[in-house]
Amino acid sequence: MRVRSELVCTLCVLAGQGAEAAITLDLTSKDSIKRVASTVAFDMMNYYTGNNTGDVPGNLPEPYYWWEAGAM
Amino acid sequence: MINYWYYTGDTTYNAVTTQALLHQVGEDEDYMPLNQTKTEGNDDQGFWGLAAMTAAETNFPDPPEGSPGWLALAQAVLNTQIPRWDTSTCGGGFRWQIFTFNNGYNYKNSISNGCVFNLGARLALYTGNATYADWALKTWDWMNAVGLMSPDYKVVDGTHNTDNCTQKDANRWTYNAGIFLLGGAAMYNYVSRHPSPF
Repeated sequence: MRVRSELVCTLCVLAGQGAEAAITLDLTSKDSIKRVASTVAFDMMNYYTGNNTGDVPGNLPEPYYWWEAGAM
Repeated sequence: MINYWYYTGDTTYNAVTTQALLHQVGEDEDYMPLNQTKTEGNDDQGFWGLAAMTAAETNFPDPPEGSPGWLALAQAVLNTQIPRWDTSTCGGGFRWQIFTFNNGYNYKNSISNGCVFNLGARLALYTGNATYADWALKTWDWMNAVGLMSPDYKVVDGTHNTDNCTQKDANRWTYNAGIFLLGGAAMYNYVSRHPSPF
């Protein structure tokens, strides 16, 4: 594995987009946990282009590594 | 993404996840696709194997007929890694890199050994096959013997076989501890069900 911080920091970016974009998580609420998981999953999948026409399934675009797609 | 589906029940990304997992299996169905192998490390292959293992454990919807199954893919990853156990230096251990021409071939690191430990433990639990547990135990013992894991379970990143693994890269990344933590939980469950060999 070679480390790139960008993908790992999807959450940081998401959390740092400004106060109005901060994610509120209520660990006592199943609905809240699912909603936050859905938001984060959607945002992470924004990095993924492997299902676009002409792209390769299971690959992430530069500068991301092949292992990161596997970890996703 | 498999865990996301498993814990939320949201199937939105299942198709794209299945497509990606199958597209990368490679010619031998072991996550060594030709266009990656030039630079592929044991840990890189391992992460894909762990994804397949998670798919098997969670009953992620089976691939279409004619494709390799999730369990078979996880097994194939471990089966290709086991012969890479290297006793020429440091009393054993897996190297970071698979091929001699890659930087890091001399590095024996916690994540590569952790992938085998984690996958071995989970395959042992899933299949009941003691050979997998033996490999998990072997990597765990080596991690301790070589000093990559301390008696209080602090895991450092790795060590070079150029000085017979004397000096360590002392960085403690969470994924190294995490991969042993999950594998340890699987081994605990395995041993609870199959106490005899231990």
